[in-house]
Amino acid sequence: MRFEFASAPSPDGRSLPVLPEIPNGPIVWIEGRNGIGKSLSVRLLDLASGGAPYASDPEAWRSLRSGTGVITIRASNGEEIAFRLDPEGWVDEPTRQAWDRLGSATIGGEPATRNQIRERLRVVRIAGEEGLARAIGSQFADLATEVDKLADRLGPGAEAADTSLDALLRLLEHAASDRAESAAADLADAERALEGAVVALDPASHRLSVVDRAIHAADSLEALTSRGPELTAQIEAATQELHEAHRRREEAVAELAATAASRPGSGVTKELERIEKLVARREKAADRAALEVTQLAGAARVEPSDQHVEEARAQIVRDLEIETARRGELARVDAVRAFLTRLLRLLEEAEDLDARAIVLEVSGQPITREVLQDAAQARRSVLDQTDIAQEVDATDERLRELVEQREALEAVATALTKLAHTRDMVRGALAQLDLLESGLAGAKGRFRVAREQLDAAVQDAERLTLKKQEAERALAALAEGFTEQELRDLIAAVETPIAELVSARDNLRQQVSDLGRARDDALRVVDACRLAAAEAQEEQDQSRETLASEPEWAWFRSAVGVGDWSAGWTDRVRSAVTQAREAVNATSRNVKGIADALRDVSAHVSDARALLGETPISQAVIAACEERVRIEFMSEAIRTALFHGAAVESVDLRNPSVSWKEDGLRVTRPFSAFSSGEQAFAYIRARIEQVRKRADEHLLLVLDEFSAFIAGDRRRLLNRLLNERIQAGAISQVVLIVPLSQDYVAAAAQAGDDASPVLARRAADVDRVGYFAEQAPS
Amino acid sequence: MVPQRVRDPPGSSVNSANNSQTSDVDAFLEAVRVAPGPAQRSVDIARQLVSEPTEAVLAALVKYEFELRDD
Repeated sequence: MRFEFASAPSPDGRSLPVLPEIPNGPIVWIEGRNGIGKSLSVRLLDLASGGAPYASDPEAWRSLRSGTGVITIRASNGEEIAFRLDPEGWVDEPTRQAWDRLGSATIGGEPATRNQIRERLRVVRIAGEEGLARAIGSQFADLATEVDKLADRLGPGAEAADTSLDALLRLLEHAASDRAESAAADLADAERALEGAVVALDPASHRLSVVDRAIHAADSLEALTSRGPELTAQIEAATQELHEAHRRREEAVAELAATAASRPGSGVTKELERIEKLVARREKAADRAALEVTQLAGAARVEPSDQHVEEARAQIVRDLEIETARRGELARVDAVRAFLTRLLRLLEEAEDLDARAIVLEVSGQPITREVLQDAAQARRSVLDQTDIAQEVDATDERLRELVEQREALEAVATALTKLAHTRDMVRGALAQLDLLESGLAGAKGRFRVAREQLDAAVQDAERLTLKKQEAERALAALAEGFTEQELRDLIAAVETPIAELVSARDNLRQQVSDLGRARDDALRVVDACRLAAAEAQEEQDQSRETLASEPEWAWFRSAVGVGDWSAGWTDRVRSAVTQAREAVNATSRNVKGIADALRDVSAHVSDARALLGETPISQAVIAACEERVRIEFMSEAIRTALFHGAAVESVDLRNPSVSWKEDGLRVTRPFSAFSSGEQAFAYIRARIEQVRKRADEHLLLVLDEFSAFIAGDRRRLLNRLLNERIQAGAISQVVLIVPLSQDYVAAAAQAGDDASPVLARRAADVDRVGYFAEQAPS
Repeated sequence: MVPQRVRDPPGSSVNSANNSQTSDVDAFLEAVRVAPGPAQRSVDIARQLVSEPTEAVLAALVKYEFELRDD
């Protein structure tokens, strides 16, 4: 599998170096300068693929978190796995960093889960610079991370279990008999207390009322003696005034009756209605007459007024005279012509008459025959030229028109006269109406005055009645309904001197008040207890029903069966559930405790930090760790290398040391004593032999900073071991990381053209990226 | 950047991708379990709660405690 790395600067410009590439190959040798990111790249790959390389190195984790921007890693082996790590969302504690929050991962371009990544790629890093103690300690840190993950997976289930058991316990508490029984007992106690309070209160209340009555009787007696006569006088005065008020009322009633008699009754109302109808009818008639005048005046083409009509009539009369005269003249024309013709014939026949002979005198003026003949002739000529018939027709036509117009005017005049008459009738009816209404108003006024007088008299009577009643009540109140002797008897009944009655009452009042409060309190307590008892009973019934029938509690029924809810059975169940809940909560605590203890042991073994206070859990963890290391030490390679083949008897992690028998003697050595190269190598070899991959994962074994193990035979042994493990299918790929063993750039420069291809390539790579990567020889 | 949250497909085992590490942890927890102390029960219950339905675990727990108190 080939790996490529790239890192981007953080927002504030910081970045960390990473290797651009780890090539594919069964055993890849990487030799490079310090500080180019060899170990960092491997740790990042381990982190991205689901490991916890920083579990035991929180400082390095925080430095990484704050020192870089986004980092991308690609792993390709036919299928490409890609990672994008973004420190932006990382937490402060490396063991609490969720893989989901590291960034993102894809397989073949599709988003992938941690499990899917882990199925394909796993990184195991063995650091060569680690001593025995640190190597052992780091295992425990890795285990702590895995146990933390178990605790995280456990969380939801444990919480759900706790919630369910808590709910069950509450139901059981309500279902238990003791609550309802206790509530019933409380109710009985409260009722008894209430009864006691009532029994104590009643006689005191009675005594108080007796004393009160006696005091009131004494007061009444005194009041009766002192104020009675005054009230009696008030009553008498009020009675007299009331009598006077009644008399005034009677007078007002009589006056009212008299005015009511003269008040217009229903007959006046009817008359009023009749006149109103008459007015309406006459107004309608007036409207019709006005309309007729308008229509006739329109037809006669004259203004609808008397003056205009009269003027028009006068004009027509004049026109008629003229036309009549003219007609007369026209009627005489034939006769005149006939006369003139006869005259001219006569004149013509009178040939022997001198032309200058005088034939007649007109107004003393002599007229000759010639003149007469000429005049007659002229006149007859004129008459002959005149179309008399046409003129007669025209004159007759005009005469007829004038007559029609005169008749139309006559009609208008008649209509005007009728209209005037009709309006006079309307005015007359309105006058009647006004007269009637003014008469009514006067009668109403007199009636109102009489009514007001009656009301005043009635109010006076009522007020005086009340006043009299008040005085009578006051007088009665003085005695409070008792006679004087009865009052004296009431006072005697308390058998206490009158002078001591008030103080006795005060004491009794206080007593009654206290007892009353006590009774009220007891009553409230009874109410509360009754309610509580009812609620407890209902809760009990409901809770039992729920547990007996609800599907949610089927598991509970399967565990304990159906019970009789006796006290014994209920207690047993409640205790069992309580203990089960404690066991669940203890599980969460203890799993976390196991992780904490592992971290504690890791820090103690790796860095010599003091162990925290021991608990039963931490003791169990230490024991398990010790046994684990003991078994690890029992591998043949390690026994041979470290213990001369002896069997390891025990491992002590509190004082990190191992014990075995040599020549029958028990030998104990601290881990730090196993620092020789041979011993460390043997341990490393054993660890390599322990690494085993699953069939389908790509297990990348990284041997980091292994310079101590590459000298001489160790390198050969190591190579052989690695090849054996690869061929056995236990490991997919190995990457060996070592520092530069020489200055390849200088060596290549010195060799110049004689530099071997290998040297030249190595020098070029070191010069370019600070390292070179090659396939290690098999 | 929004971190991706991708769910495993239904039916996939929570532990399937971590068999070797899970077996290592299991072996260790087993070692812790057998050591004297309260760890045994806690380890047993923890294993049950991550692998079995909660109700089944509770039924077994309550039944155990209930029978323990049988007079």
